[in-house]
Amino acid sequence: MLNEPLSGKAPVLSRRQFLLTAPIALLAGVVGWSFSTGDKTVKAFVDTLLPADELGPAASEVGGVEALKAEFDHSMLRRGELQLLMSWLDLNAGGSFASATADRQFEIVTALDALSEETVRWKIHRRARGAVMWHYFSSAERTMALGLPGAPQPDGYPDAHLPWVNS
Amino acid sequence: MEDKLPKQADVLIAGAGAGGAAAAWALARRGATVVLIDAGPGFDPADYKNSVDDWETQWFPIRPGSQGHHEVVAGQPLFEKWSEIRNISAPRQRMSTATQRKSRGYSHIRGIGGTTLHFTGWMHRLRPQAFEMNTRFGVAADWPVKYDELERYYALAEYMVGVAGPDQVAGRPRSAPFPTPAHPASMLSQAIARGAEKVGLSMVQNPVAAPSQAWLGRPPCNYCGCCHKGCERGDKGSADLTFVVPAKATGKCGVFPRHTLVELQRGDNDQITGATILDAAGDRHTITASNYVLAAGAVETPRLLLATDGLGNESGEVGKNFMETVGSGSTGMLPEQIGSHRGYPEDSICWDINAPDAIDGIPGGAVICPTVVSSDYHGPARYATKLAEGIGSDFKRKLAEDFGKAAGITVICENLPNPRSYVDLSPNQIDYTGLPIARIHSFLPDLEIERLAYAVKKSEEILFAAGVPAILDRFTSYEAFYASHVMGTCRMGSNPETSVVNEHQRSHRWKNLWVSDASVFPSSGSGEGPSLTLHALSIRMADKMLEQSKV
Repeated sequence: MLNEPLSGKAPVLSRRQFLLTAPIALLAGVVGWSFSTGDKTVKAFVDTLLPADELGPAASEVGGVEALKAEFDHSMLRRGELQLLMSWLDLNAGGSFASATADRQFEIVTALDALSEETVRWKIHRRARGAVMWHYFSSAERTMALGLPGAPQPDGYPDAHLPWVNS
Repeated sequence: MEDKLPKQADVLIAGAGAGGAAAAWALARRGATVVLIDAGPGFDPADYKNSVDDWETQWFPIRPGSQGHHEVVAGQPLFEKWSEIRNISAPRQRMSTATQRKSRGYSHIRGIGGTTLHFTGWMHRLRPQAFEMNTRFGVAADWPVKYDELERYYALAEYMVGVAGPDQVAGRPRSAPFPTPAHPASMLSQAIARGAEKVGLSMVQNPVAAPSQAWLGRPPCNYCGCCHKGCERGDKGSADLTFVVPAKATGKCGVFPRHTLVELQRGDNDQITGATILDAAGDRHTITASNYVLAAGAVETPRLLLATDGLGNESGEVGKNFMETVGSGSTGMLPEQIGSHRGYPEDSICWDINAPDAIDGIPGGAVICPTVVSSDYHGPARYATKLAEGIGSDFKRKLAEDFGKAAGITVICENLPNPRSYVDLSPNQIDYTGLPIARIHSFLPDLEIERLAYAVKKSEEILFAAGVPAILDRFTSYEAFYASHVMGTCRMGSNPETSVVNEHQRSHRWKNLWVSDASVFPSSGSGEGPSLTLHALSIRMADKMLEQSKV
């Protein structure tokens, strides 16, 4: 009865954080997206979040890169935030996140994921992660590959009163 | 009736939601010619997308005209002392530090069926005591109609809707059983019931608008949990199906979506003599009727009256006594798998703190229901983005293991009217009609906050007792206005100086002007869904109109 209107809502930067980040982000946005190197980092990031495995395809194979970019394509500031995140990834990988080993990529993004929620990096990462995860898991075909249910209709759940296991 | 808007009818009804639709049926079945208009569009069960691949991204469809525009003023300061009702964000249980209440808007649908199109279908009678809040507790106002008189209308409305419910509902005498048996309790409800029992409370089956057996041409519910996105099977008893379809079947009721009432003309002898209606193409039409019914809800009905030079506002009470949905939603994860995404949303309910005198020192009660739908933990994408942390293949495996373990609980409380909650006109915004839009003022006095805090505490005690180790996510009305039930603003009463309509819902002054929506409620009830009471009041109003007008 009291539906929260937005799903997968991303964290919001505080005013102070916004002011600290804005010049860097704006600069990155004005300079523009470096597609030659940036896309490789984005793809590597997206596939580190959700790699190809026995449970399904990699996120980049099913539109994860596009979903991520769309999330950050609303303003120059947002585009700059994404650029900032990718730059951090590259920096932490010694220059190129895309060239790092899968284990190193996982280690870097796991560390990012574990940051304090007060940090700018975590907030941008959480937005990026949310966009990729939302896109990936909002496909019934993909959730069924995990053993989860597909769309609720047309069959419904006539056994809702009985025990359940995810197959 | 014809497809073209007629120039004349016995009754014009503006608003095809829970009130207008029921009134249209009740009038048409007794031979009155009815024109039922709504500013919003018509919807069809085929419009709802609960069986497509990306179903979780699909919300109730927004169509041209299906959302009204309004302003909300709700910026009261927030205080740390109310930590037990501050919002908490998953996954890290971060407590809100907001310093000012916000608005998340008035959740509603304009269209044939109104907000019942996306409601979860609570079909509640008010308790007899709830009609006497002023006499018993010195708050709000008494209703000029009592439970005993409304009971037969409740029963008739339940029949039309095909309500599924248990044998009895606490404190509400019944003249007939519910039309269909209660739904079997979902696994979530069973888990929450075990928790409730441990803390001395009880969960029982909630009367709801989807039948458990085929009813009047509608199939039984199959427990997909998507009521709020629109019921594509057409089993849920939204007013378009339960009242508009049978109203049209009488041959006496014409239904006109995307037609907006913009003016009522005053005549001599305290009569309304005509109505101006704006269609979707921008053309204006005039219609004359013997009686005019406003059924546009507790925001739009006062707006129209105030914008029409204060029509019907001889008391000065139009727009006052606004009451909203005051509630909460709290969610955690159970250790065991229960498949909580399945089942009728909020299929059980705790009535133990619902009586108006159930909470020591605080008049007005509350209801508590298990839910994952109200908190929106109904699909894997929401779990992945909000509840869970982690990345990689292990994250996928964890999600596959944890999906279905979310357990939530929702609370809705009484909301007593106060002078700082009201509806007036925006001083600087108009909409397509050329009229000022409504401006909602929402304020929660300490008493409202104390009641909410009590109910949230009780609800979370249940969650913990059910096995949830921590509250991961909580949202409450303390932090934001986000009403779906809105009431008051054209209060019904016997005294013309303190109410807008009389005991039959007719304007005290204008002899052929009626109001048939939740704006007439003198009090909100203690968290009950208002739709069934609206249906019952509207059918009763139709009877009174026919008796008085001989249309």
